[in-house]
Amino acid sequence: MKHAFLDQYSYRDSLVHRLDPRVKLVAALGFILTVMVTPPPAWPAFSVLLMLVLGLIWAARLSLVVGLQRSLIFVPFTLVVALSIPFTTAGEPVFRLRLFSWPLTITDRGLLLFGAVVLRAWLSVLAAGLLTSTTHFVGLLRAMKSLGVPKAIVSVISFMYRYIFVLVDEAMRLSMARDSRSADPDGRGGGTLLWRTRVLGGMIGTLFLRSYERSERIYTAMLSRGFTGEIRTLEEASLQQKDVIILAAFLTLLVAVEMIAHLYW
Amino acid sequence: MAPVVIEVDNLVYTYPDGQQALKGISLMVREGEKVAVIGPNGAGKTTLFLHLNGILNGNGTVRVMGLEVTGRHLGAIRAKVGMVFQDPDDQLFSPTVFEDVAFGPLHMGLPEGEVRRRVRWALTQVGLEGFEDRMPHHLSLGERKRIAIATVLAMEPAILVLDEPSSELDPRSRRSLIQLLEKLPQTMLVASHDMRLVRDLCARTVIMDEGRIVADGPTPHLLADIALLERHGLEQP
Repeated sequence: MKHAFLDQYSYRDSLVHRLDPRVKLVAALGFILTVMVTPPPAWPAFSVLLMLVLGLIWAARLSLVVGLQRSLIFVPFTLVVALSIPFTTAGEPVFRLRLFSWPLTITDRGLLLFGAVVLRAWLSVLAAGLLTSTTHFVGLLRAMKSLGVPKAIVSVISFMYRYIFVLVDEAMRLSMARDSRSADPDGRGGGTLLWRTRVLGGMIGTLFLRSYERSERIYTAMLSRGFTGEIRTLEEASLQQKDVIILAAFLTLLVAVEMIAHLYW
Repeated sequence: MAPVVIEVDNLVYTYPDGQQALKGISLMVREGEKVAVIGPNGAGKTTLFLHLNGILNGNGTVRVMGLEVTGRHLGAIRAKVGMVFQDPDDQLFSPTVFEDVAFGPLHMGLPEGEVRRRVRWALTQVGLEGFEDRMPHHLSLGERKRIAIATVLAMEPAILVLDEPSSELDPRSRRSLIQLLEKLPQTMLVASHDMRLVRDLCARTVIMDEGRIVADGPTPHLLADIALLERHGLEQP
């Protein structure tokens, strides 16, 4: 079975796609760092950063609508983490409410911080999405390796990328097998919730056992080809001048935005 | 006569759970021979194969190219014995075909130019030149099986050990796989349930059942003996 949930857009061609993966990785990390250190009231700085990432999405010939839609996956995670901020930050109260007998106060400073956290998360997700939509996963792995990420970690990510498709196939086969035998001829089928949960638990356990056994077979295959515990790879070509200039310009822009933000707000 | 390249003498292996998988295997293979190892599931074929490059260590001696398969010689032996596993998803563990085929040569410590040359050469051998940047999960099973063979060919082994090379392949991929294996000059040990592959590829056949070798001889001779085949749960091609 073919899956397109990774690398769906990274095979397209544009100026952004053609940049060296190392440049894009550093630029994305630099962007996220900039977003993180921008002070909460510096809304113009945030808007500049937003324009920047949206502009790059446009330059990469990706759909802005799809990009924005996909960036919304951050909402549940961020809300869970950030929801308490307006209530717990000290500042001028703007709103009071009672949850049962529990008094809650929303402060101005809390709202400001909440807005900043949500905005930062959203900008970071947009940048990460842009990075992965314009760079092959394999290119990202090589970039991590040449930027000094420990080889063991790069290997783990590389295995994850290689086998996530195999795992999804296996999970889909399991659930097809279950569904094929989930007959309900007279409307009395289906079983209790507890029973269905137990079946699902069994499937997850099966998937884990199969992965575990597969990992042993993979290790055997690695040993058979001379693996001794040390991960060896070929050297990467050095960066082109064009890529270095683009990266330098981008990072300079980020620093400039940040300096202005800190001077004026 | 050609020199002996594989020599197994009275090999006994018991799995940690107490199940005895090999009960005294003795086998001699000469250079250039293509030997089929057939027998029902659980006969011990894969277990025997895993002894040929020291993944498993039983009692008894195993010699490959004159070297005893022990810790001291494992590095040399794994360069000489190319092991191709049944499921290519186990064998192909890298994100790209290039990295997978380069894995063996890189671990042999070869210089970059030689690694690249060998990758290109191995892919040409299996008829998949230009597949370097492809990803295993985008390839068909037949292609993945061929890439799995390329990953060991790149190490230029003297012996190829293949576990069920034709299983789950459609007739066309199976046919072209047999042609590829016929063309390769290496000494070969092939475990298979595919009797037509056995008949077409291997001049000699070994029948295993319940951890023992129960027959060893010219393939046409063994495959003509219906009573023998049926006694060990096998059938004619």
